[in-house]
Amino acid sequence: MIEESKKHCILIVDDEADFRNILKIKLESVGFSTMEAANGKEALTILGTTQPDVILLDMMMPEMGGIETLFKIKENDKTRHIRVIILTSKGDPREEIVRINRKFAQESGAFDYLRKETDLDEMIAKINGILVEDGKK
Amino acid sequence: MDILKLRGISLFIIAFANLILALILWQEAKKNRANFWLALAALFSGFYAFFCGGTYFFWKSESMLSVYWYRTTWLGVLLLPPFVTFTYYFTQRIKNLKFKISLLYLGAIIISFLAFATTLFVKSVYLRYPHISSLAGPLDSWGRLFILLCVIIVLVNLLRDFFQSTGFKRLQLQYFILGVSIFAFTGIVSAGIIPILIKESPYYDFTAYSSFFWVGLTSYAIIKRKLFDIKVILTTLLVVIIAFLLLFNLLIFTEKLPLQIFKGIILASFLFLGPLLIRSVLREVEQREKLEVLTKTLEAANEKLKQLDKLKSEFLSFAAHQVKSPMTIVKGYATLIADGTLGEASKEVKETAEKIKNSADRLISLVNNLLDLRKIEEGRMEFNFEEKNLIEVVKSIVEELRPLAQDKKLELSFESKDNEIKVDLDVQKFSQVIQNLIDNAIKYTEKGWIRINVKCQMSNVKNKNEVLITVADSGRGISKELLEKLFEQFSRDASVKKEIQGTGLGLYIAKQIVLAHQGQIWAESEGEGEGSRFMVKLPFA
Repeated sequence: MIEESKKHCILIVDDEADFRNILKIKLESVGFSTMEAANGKEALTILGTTQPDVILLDMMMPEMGGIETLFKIKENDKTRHIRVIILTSKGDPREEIVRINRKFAQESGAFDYLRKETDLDEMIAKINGILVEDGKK
Repeated sequence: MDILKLRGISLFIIAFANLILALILWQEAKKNRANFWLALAALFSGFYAFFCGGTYFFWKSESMLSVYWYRTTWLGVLLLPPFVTFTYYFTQRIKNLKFKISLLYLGAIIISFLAFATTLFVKSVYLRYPHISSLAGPLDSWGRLFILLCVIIVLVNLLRDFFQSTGFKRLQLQYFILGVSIFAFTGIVSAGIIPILIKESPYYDFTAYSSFFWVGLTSYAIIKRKLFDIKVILTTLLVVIIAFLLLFNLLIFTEKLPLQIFKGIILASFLFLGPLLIRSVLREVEQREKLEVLTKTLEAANEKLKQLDKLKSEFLSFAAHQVKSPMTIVKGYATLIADGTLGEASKEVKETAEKIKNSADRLISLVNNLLDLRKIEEGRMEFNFEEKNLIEVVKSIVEELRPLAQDKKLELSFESKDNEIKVDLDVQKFSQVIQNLIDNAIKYTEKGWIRINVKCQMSNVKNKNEVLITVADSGRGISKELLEKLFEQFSRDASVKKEIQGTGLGLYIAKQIVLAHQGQIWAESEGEGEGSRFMVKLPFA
């Protein structure tokens, strides 16, 4: 069992409350702690004070979309190291990101991505994989 | 009858015809200002033919009256300024027109006055049977240069517009240009070059004859809403001219009976063949016109279809995303119930939730397939090729799908002699293909095995190596008819449509993806109940 103090924190950024809720319930049921943000701006505010282990970031959001938020996270020295998983309904977002920001082409390993409809178990497997890579698990 | 009288009468007829055309054009003048000027030109052209006719008809040697008749033919220059004006109006270049045109009118009036009242243009008139000719005065050449200038302006105006015009206007201009060319050519030769060269003017009335062509063709082009193709007119003209020449030759230059008979036969056969020629040209032109209309209709229809297609595509994209996001939520909640995350539930509840989740999954994959299909159809599917180890890629898919095979108690195996085969792949899209093939194999196999094999082989086409991936199963097999259209859109095994869920798009998309990898995909089966093999062939990196 994971002790309370060692719980890994996941920041869920999605404009759809139901989707956030599903992820929150599932993640907490397997021992993660979660935080929620409804768009990029809210996410950046939370990141100003907290450092989650992994960010689940939706692509299409009002206010500030996923890609812009990703750029902001990766531009900031304090948040650059945080692993980001882009959630998309369109498939590989890499092309689009490269199109917007050529600089990112070289560091395309700076994020992972999953289709939004991916099975929840698979999502958790991916998060755990990342935590293992980072030596956090 | 005397040939001079005959020439006179024929010129009167031409004059009369010109006047009638002038009258008709006058009627049309209300519709278009250009027609007024053309009517005026036709009127003067009629006068010109009339005076030419008068000269011949009333000819008397040594008579001052005959000299005046002859001089009046110079009044013909008055038709030129209205005709020039007409071309400016017709081509809609009427800016700063007044000054230029006034100069022309002034020139024409001065010339016709001097020609009539003095000996500056016509010194004397005499008969050189069967022509009436004149001795040119000192200003004669200048007058003819004036005519040349006007004709050049007319032709330049019309030609300049001709190259920019299309459709009906282009056809109209073809008529004008043909008519004016005939008139101008005859005029330049008979009233220009010949008089300047031989210092007398025996053929000046030929211009009057040819005036009928330009007034006739021009009026026809303006009045008719629908024009014959110019080719038909040209062919008809040619046939008529040749027929007249043959007739002329037969009647005047042939005296011996055998030759007369021979030439008569030629004329008769020509009269028989000529109309056939005209008709065949007419038919060809009609067919071309029909084709043009058809082409235009098709083009319009095609354009509309394109728009509809775009609309369909936009709608599909919109609807797809709108369906996907609530379905993802349905799937998510169903998963939470089915796996007990929301608290323990009865077996029935869990099973029901599992069914909801599967249905949502199916719908999502249908939408994904439709979106892929749209991308393929629009040529928008992008590929990111990277050199990858195919063995690893296939192996990981096999492992991913192993639970599905285990659920149905099927033996799922992967086999390859190599540990590493490097191939250029878009991993995501190519994985989709292999996933689809193995997934199908599991779906369509009730008991037995599914074997996946990856091997290198020599290509028989080029001296190059290639990779062959085989997904074989002991399942229900594929009938011959289905085998043929297996990789087409929405082709599914009708016998299992209800039992086994699918969209009928997977293999079509798979084929498109494999083609983009410069590969081949095909299926083999001995028949129903005999299992099947799906192969993908890829070139080496």
